[in-house]
Amino acid sequence: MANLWNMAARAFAAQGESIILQEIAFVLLLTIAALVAILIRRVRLPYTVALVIVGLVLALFPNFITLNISSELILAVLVPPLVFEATLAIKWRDLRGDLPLVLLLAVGGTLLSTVIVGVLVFQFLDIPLLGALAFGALISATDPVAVVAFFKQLGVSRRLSILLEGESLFNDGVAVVVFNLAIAAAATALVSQAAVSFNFLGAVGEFLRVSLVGLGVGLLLGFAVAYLVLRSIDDHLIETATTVALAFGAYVAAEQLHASGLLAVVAAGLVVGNVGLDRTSPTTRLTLDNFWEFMAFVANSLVFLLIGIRIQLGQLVQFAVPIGVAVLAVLFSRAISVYLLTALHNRLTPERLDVPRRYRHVMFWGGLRGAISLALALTIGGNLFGQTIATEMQVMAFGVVLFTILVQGTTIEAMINRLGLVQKQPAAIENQRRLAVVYARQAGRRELNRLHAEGFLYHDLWQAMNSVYDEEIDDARAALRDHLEMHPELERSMYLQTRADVVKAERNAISDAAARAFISAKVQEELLIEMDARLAALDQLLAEDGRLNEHGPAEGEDG
Amino acid sequence: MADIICAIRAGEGSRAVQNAAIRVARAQNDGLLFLYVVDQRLVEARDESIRPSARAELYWMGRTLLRIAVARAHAAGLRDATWAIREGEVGQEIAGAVVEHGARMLFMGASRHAGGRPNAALSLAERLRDTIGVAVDIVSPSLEDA
Repeated sequence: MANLWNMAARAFAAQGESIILQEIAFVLLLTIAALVAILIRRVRLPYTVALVIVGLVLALFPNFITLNISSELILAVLVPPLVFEATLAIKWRDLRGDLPLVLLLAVGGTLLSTVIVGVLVFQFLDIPLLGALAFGALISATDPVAVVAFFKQLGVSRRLSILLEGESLFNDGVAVVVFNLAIAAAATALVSQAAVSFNFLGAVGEFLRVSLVGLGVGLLLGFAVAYLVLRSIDDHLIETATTVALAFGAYVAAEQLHASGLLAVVAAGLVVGNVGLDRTSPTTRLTLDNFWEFMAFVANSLVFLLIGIRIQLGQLVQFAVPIGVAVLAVLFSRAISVYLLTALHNRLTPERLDVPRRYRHVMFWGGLRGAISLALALTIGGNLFGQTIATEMQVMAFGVVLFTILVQGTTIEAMINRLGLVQKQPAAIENQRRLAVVYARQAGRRELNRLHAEGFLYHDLWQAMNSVYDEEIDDARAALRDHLEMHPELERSMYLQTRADVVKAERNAISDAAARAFISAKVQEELLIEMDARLAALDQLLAEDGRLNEHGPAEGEDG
Repeated sequence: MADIICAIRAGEGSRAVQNAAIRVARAQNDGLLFLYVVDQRLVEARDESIRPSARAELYWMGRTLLRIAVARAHAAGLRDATWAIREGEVGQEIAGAVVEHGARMLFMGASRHAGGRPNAALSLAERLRDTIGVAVDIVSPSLEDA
């Protein structure tokens, strides 16, 4: 009996130790992600690339981090937050105009890309057809987050952002469905020890079933949460917790029905973002935005670090040719998908819905690959195609993602500029420059006055330097005024930004008053809700300010 | 009452249209009213939960822009300069202000480059001329200013 007790105690201790080890690994990865995020503030390098590089370095020390994450765990835990967070920001009113094109690109483009990449990889590399198609599917999921961030920064058309973002959201789900179909076919072939006879109609039927059931589950759960919780209860903690349950619950429910978990998450996210959040309080909205931004940051960081850790540096050299083939295949398939499908769309729709040629170039080059491709690559085990081919496909996926981030991601800005898609950016940048000069000179004069006040400067020197500063500040202010005289539309952005800053100061003052017990918690909450609503409104007006300039003023509004 | 109304919104043509209106008001010794319309479409485009805040912020912006315009008029030596804010459909509200104040002339700004689009300000101006018979002057910033 004592022996049995000791065995049980040892088993529990071992399990506990294993959990602690996993926890330590998780904490280390998060710490590394945070450190990388801090470092890239000083180095001009995309965050994801920095993560991968750090991951590659960590791979040199295999015992440093031992995190046993199964492929199911990656897909079920890390991918839903990435997709859900992206869908929350998509507004139906922006999406609906281009929905046919978005779906054409997401479904048609992904299938086309899967076949093109699959056939090319099968032809040129020693990878079986089903494996090549699985690779084609996983690498077809686009991830334009970095590109869209540039769009916002540069003031590029909202329509172009929506086209890329919308396509990405849906093609993530489609890519996973096609990837799973290819993997399932490969598994069947392995069990029957023979090549599977390809049933095209059966595959199309299965694809439709998996996709539509997934979307249906997401819509059902999304509407249920939107109406029963988000529109009925005003409590930011409850509402945030419910969205977490929804994001993961939709995924799990759809997967249990052998449908697409990711498409369920996409549908649920779109419903929550458009219906559920329509009447939620601004406080809830801020909490949700911050929470999901954090979740996506963690998931993205973990995926990139994990792939970095999984790949050995030497493998990049060993599989240099397959990586090159994969990159060329991906670029070729992207070009075919974008140019062919948008040409088809332009032919079939009224002229006003045409996708301009310049947009098509950006859509081609902006089709970066990211976390979803890497997460899917991490799920490829050695049991289906053999360990060497599994590793080869992972390294190829890694190489393609790295190429798109390093080469396409860093040149897209120049392309946008060259194509003339940037709206009034030089004037805005010049305004910032002149503003910064005023700001810097004033800071210099404050420091000069401090040095004088503390007795470090003798009076005549201080007075002389102060006079020079006065002249410089006057000149800088005049330069700013002249620039605004030429570009008065910039005044509106300055106003909105300043107004947002002062409302934030008011918000802080309310929290301060509550901390000092000048006002009760109830009054504080009421006032904070009002302030948050103001900030949310200003945020939207600021975001639209660029768009108003881009599309031209509304009727009679330009004076 | 104001003889001249200048509709403003801090767009590309705002400085030019304000300068033009101030110049004419001074030359003719007329009263000048700067008008800002809180565009109901901008308010209604928001989610329901933040519409009141969006409306309040647009009023805030309007008050600020109007004060800048009046200060410019005073600095240019025009003492009879005031401001007003209205809310609704932009064209209707401008027309309403013209009628209520009995204004003879309306100044509106237009962007520097219409980029091939039909100029919205011009079409609104035509509509106002036809419906309320006011003289409308559309002012754009000169291309050299760009």
